[in-house]
Amino acid sequence: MIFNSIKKISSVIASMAICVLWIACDDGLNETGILGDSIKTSGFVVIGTTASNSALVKYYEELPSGTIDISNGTDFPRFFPNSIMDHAMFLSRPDESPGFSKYVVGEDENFYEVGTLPTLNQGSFRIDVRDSNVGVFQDRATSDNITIFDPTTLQITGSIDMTDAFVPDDIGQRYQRFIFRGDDVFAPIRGNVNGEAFASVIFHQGNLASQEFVGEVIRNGNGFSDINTVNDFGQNFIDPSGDLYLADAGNYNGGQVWARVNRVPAGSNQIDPNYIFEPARVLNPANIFLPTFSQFKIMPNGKAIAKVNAQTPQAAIEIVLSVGGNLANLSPTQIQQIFGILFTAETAFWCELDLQSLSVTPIMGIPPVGVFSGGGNAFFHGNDVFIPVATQTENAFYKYNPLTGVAEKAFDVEGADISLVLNLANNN
Amino acid sequence: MRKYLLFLCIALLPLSMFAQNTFTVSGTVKSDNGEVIPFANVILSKSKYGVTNDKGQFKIENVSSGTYKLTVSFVGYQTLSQSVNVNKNVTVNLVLKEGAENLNDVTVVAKTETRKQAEKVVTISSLDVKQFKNQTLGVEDVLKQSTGVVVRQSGGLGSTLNINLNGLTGQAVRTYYDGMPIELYGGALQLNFIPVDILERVDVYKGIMPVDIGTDALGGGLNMVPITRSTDYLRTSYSVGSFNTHRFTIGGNYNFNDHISASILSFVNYTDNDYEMKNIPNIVENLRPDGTVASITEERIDARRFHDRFRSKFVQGSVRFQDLSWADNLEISALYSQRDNQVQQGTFITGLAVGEAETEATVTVQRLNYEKSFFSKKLKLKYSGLLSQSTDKTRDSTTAFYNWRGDKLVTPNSVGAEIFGLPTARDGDNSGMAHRVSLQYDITDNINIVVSEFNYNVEIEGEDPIGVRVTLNEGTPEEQILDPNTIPSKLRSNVFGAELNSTFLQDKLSTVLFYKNYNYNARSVDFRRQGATEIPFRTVKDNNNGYGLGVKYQITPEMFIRTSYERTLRFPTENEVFGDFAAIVPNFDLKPEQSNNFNLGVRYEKSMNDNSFISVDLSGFLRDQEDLIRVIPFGPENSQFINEAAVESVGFEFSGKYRPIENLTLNGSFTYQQIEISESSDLSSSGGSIGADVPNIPKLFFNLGANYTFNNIFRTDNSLEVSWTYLFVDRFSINEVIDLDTANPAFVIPRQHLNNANISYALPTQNLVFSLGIQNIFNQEIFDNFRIPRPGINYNFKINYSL
Repeated sequence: MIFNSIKKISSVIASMAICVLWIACDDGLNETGILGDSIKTSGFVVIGTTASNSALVKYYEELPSGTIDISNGTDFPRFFPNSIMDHAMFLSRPDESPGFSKYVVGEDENFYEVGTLPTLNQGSFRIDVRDSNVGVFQDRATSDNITIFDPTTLQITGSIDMTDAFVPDDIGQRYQRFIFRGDDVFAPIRGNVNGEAFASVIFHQGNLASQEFVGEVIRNGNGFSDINTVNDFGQNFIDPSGDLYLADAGNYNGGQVWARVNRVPAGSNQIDPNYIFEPARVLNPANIFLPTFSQFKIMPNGKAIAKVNAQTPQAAIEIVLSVGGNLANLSPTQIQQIFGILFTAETAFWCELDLQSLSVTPIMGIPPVGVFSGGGNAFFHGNDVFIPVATQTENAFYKYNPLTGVAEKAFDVEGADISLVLNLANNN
Repeated sequence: MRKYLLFLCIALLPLSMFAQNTFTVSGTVKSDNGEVIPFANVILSKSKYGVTNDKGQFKIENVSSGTYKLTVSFVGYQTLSQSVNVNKNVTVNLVLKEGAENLNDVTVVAKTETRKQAEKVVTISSLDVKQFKNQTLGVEDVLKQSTGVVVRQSGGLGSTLNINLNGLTGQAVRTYYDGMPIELYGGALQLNFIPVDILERVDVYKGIMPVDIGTDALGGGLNMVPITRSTDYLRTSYSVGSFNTHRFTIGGNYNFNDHISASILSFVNYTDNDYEMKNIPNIVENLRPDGTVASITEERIDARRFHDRFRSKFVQGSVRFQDLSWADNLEISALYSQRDNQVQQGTFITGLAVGEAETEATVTVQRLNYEKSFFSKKLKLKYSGLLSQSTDKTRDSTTAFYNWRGDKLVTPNSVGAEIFGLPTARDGDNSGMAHRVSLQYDITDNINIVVSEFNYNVEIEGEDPIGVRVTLNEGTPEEQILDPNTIPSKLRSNVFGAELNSTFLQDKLSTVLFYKNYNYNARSVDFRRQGATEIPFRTVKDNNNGYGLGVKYQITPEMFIRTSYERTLRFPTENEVFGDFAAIVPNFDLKPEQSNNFNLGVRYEKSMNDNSFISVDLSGFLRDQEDLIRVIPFGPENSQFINEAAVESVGFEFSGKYRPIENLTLNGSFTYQQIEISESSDLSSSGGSIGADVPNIPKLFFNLGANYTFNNIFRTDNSLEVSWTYLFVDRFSINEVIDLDTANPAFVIPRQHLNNANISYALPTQNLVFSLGIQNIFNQEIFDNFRIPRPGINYNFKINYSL
């Protein structure tokens, strides 16, 4: 009886087994290509962010024009390069592991991780490269160290012990970015664990050659209002005369410490106290609520560009009025709400900043944007500056020629919200 | 190990005193026009005899386990016979047809509660867990075999578990224990460690929650229904398995007389979860001769988990009074549950392991259930009340880093925490109270109305000696620094529901029309508030309505079609609105998630005279969700919950069961679902994500199972049951992608094939069942959640003893 039953079911089980084995044989994986001997040394990398906060990255051999669709780009959980050097991108590891990666574009136009610099702290986020031989990063697990590495080999070549550097309340610091001037490296700080902003903008200065701490560069605030620092892509903060310009985003919370471009004269390690350039206040002196700016970068002609807020959006004013019109009464949540408004309220203009005459000139032909809107930094190609515009109606880059003062749309991006475009031919 | 064996011996000691090897067969006999038939003769294989009472009810006690022929006869009706398999108390409802007495036997199928649930107007997948009780399984293992349900775990037994039901996940899918929201148990009772042994069934509500069960579930919910038996029994089990896993359960009921009984359910779990993970990253420090760190590198190793111990224990005792003049049923129960977990990793595997962080929770619950019928049972009153007191501990404070070899690194942990952005040593102290009252009134035989009121209050407080602080009157002589945990947070929620049930066309057409009102009020501290001069309380409140309709049409006795629609919502949780006083910052403007849920399905079921059986369920669902709540990074250290894009889901499900011959059962389920982003809440969005799949959710998954029982093996009455389960999950990306074929393979979770087998040998005369289970037979790589490997091949051996 048992054997009869077994016989009856044997065909059923055999069929199921065949089905299982058939499915088991196909693992569904794509083949991954192998990086060839050469990599792309020119072209453009367009990076977008999806609604799910993952990244889509696509390579274009030529400067994009018309409308490009990056929805079929390579997907990563994140992809935020901080530097380009020798056509390689340096960024926090795209798979969200702690540390940094070096990525290149292969001849097959795919993206390849050619090395990593692991860190202990998963929140380590900043790596900058000076040249082919020197780059730096911070592992926030060892927040008093700036680690020096060789961008070509990814070997650790040294570190700068920043223990002696000043931090308010003697808490640990994190470095928002690294700015190079010869062998000097300047790094604006915030609190390492809680991300505190301080009442002064403090840059720690180290020396890459001696691997020693040098001192601090400080823009003094009013003693009680936080001043925020920024962490954009790349470098381009030194003008043709060698002066270094360090931008801060000012105080958002009622201290009336306005966002400023600070100048460190060539050869000096201190901010020039006589140089006071507050672009948003220059653009609209009546903007007393949030006269801030972002994406500051010096163009090859020595002038700078930035997104400068021309007025405070009405929705933000209403939040301020809800606390008696006193910015000091804003809660962190309300400040965050205002940030959100500044991301979308199109009250800022891309402007050309004359660092000598301290003038601010909106670039005609480019629509207004949110001062903290997406799109990342501008990039340079030929004589033109390519400027991101991410608004409710546009997801595009505009081309601006500083020589002619003419701006026009260069290309639209579809498939994801633009977060950065990189020119592989350029360093930083 | 020794202490568990001792525990087992002690637990088994009273069995001999408590043992009874008999069951009860009971039921109701009605005519085919619905009238009860008193004084009908009921014969159980000629050895047992009974007569129905004036309500048509019969009860035959002291029946030994086995298969019997149940024959019912009454003058003027056709005699009815059917086979009854008695290995538990059996309830059989019989319908006699008018006519000659000597017609052929008619097979009558007794409907289990599971099947009754499955045949309701609203879509419920009721999982009968009894068939799994010989196996070492948790609720999560059984749920994996249901349509539309994806279970994701971050490790082994007791690890963080996430349910995805018809595309909805997280808090959108509510979990209930015996009809009460499981969050009232304060984290000490969770889906991820409840053994099937203490459950009668698991009801999976898809899209619609009945008014007398549901709260503010967005896309359905899971209700774990514990065993409730009215007869004497005792059942215990012990299993030992890989990774030093031990699970013990015991459950029993004792009737002091016809009106008073006492029951107990209990379980203990222990596991080290020390399974090996292959090819994972591991951080190595390269030291200088002086012992300082020159650099760190990352290697790939096979590593055994070393800090993932999980322990839990649970006991629930109840006293029940029934069939009294003042109560049809009154049950008073007390429950104690405790668990503690070591934590082995964060959201996903990195080169560092977690070596010290731990969590712990304990809860005591008192509960009262009362049922009483009035006006000849036309009006039925049900009340459930619950009081809970729970404590929880979170410990994430260390100066050390650990790698996957278990080594403590030279570099100190300057953050002071392994999981959170800040160190925490929080002790929480929570109290909860819930009441549910429902009234059902039968207006006519075909129409009834149900109204239900559910109200619950939760108060949360605690302390964290190293956590964040709120400063009042900062910089003044009156400056005061407060631990926000010490200030009670309060949450009150009220859900009112009304439901109209009707049947038409000789009960062929059934409808349910319902309305729900949701009210929510929460108060907590804005712990990020600066410049406060008094405690910065924030209150969030909302009031909303939901409604829906369900229709079922019985096309033939074997087949029906049903459809339902509900407009529903889910309020944000306390943590989502007020933050956690640590890494999650508040969002006081968070709106409820809302969804329009539509289901359409057809079910066919037929039992044949030769004891073969087939059932097929085909169904589809649509979900249109708005203001979905999800977490986003808030600066490098924190996160915040926001209302995000709208999502549309469409899916198709199939489940079937086929018993071609008496001893063989084949079953399977299949789900295909498409869950797309339909709108972004980001005003500056380019809209590029519209139409893209919501990431990290599989589209296709199915399972197949086969079970065969060999009777009279080695000895008469002994049986050997062999079962095999195959689970398949198609590949999916953890990123938002348009096409999996062109997606970055580094972030595509490959197709997964999980094969489990179980062999059980039952010795009915000794009341013993021995089982050997093998999970992941082919040692395949299984990833449930964010590429965190699950255990490879593993084994368990289980002994069941029942009386």
